[in-house]
Amino acid sequence: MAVLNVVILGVGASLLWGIRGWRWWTEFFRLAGVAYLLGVVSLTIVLTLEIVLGIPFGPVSFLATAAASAGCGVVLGVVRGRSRPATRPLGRHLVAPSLVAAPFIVAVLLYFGALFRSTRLLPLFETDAWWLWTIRAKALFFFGDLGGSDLVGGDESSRPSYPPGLSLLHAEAFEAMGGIDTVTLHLEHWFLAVGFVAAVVGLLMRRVRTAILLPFVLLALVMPGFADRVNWAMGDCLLAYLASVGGLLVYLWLEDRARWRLEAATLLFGGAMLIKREGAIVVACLVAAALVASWGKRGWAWPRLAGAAAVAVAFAAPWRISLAATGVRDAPTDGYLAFLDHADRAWPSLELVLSTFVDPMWLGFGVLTLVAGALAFAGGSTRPPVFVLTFLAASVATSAFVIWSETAFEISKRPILNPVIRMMLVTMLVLAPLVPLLLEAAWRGGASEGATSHVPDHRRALAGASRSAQRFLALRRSISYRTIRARATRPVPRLVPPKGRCA
Amino acid sequence: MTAGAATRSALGPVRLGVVLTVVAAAVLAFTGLVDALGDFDARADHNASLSDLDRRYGVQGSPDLWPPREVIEDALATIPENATYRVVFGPEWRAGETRWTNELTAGFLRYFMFPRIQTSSTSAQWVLCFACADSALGGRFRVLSESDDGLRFGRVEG
Repeated sequence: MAVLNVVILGVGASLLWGIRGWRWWTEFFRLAGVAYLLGVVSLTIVLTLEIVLGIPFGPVSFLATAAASAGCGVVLGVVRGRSRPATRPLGRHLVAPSLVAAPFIVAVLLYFGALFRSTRLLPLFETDAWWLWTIRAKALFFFGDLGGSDLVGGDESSRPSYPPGLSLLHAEAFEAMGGIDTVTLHLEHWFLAVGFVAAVVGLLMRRVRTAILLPFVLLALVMPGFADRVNWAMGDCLLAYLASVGGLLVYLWLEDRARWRLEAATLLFGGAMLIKREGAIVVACLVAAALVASWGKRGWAWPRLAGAAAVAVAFAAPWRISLAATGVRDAPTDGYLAFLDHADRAWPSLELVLSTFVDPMWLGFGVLTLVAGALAFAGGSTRPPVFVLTFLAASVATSAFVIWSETAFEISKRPILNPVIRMMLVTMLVLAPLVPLLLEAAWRGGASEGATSHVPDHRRALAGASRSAQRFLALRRSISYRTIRARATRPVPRLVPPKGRCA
Repeated sequence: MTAGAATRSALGPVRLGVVLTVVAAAVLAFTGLVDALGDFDARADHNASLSDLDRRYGVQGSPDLWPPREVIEDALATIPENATYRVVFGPEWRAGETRWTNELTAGFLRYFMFPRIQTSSTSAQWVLCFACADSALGGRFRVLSESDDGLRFGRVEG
């Protein structure tokens, strides 16, 4: 299992070097989590295409795909002129020890240690795992494809329309282990969780104070709604990781315009749509948030966002086309327009989503998100809270709509009757890295009330408008004064003709 | 300027709000950490107490819900990997049990018995009969393993 994840990291590192490059190996260490997730999605995208094209999955195809993906990253890096990384001299830019960070770092390490122990002998009890994900992984392992209806079940309950991403990852794990081991398989989800946390911390550690960042990282990890499911062999957490890091990269791209961030996010979004069907909805919510948050520079941002979204959809397109070609149904139980016949479900669906959002299983993370958004606004920032709150509103609305339109879902929080908890899990993990950004923006904006610091966005705009107005008024006053003076000093036309001249 | 006034001037209301929010998050996080570590340890101890067969079978909750394990394991040991098998339910199988339906049982077996292929075709000679009538099997049914609550595994001959 460790070897598999080293291979995944290697593939992702090659891609990251190609799209970004790094000067020092310490820089790569900081972005290793991002590289790991890029490796997961790039293999998912290419292996899915191979499955659609009928290329049998197996150890040879997996290694060939990994080598080809890594090679593409290296070629891209050479084309873009990336320099070879060097070892940074000791003593330069070392991470300063911090008494504030130390307890949180220890806590996170304890968490992952205990999680590993809890995971390594975990039986595959999860219904969706043996009903759908892992049986398809077994089919990939034994037969090289997803298995027809006679192998994995042909009725709608077996969800043949579900994307193959997670099953491919499980099959890769079986290949790495040399056999079907549904117990040790859970460790792959431990690696995914570690990669997610590493990616978030690596992307934010230079933008957010550790005193703000680490408490929320730890809080996200220990939320019962997440901690209970983090090592389950299901797709919800992986979808959340990819969407979360992709959304964070898109937001950071809006801030610094670094192209590699948008490219990496595009890959992550494409992979997310190949993990679960809900991936398309989550990606759409994030893109919508980015569009709204970039309203002020839409001329620059919107075409690029549209292009990235189109490329992400193109990554998932082969799978969707293959579904359509084979006639697999992928619609709500009563059809796409069923919600029109069940208007009475609308409000209860929304109420269910909102009540789940503030449920104690998230340890107040939802409420803290709203508080952080309000503080960011109060501190004078607009883009961060607009991005976060737009995503939140879109996520709540789409989750409610899904529940409303799927009549098979009862209005209940019971997991066996309704997936609302899993939907909110994805929402919470997408918000997890954004909340520290909100608070950092609020902190920097709050500096205008105390110590000197940069003046935040809209206050600067207001100040500028105020100065302009004052100048205008001053100009008017000056014009009025000069006019008065000019009139006062202007010689009065003589009405009496000068002497010697006839009138 | 007193220390309090200096603090108040340095910490505007927004910054104070940030501090309070972060402190709240930290308190909730460490409280949650204690619970999470306890849960992880309890699950680890429970998982370690299971046998390898328990883990492969996925027992996590009431073992009564799953199909009787000993019979299924006999089937797993007997049916060749490239063979097909049938799952036949009689009307009396766990009558009144609503949580673990026949559909779930068949789905679980489809996963657990893989790569043996589950089929409804009567040409499959290997059968898992859940309180079913022999007459439904289309031949003489030789029972190889059975449980007390009506699950029988065997082979249809003739």
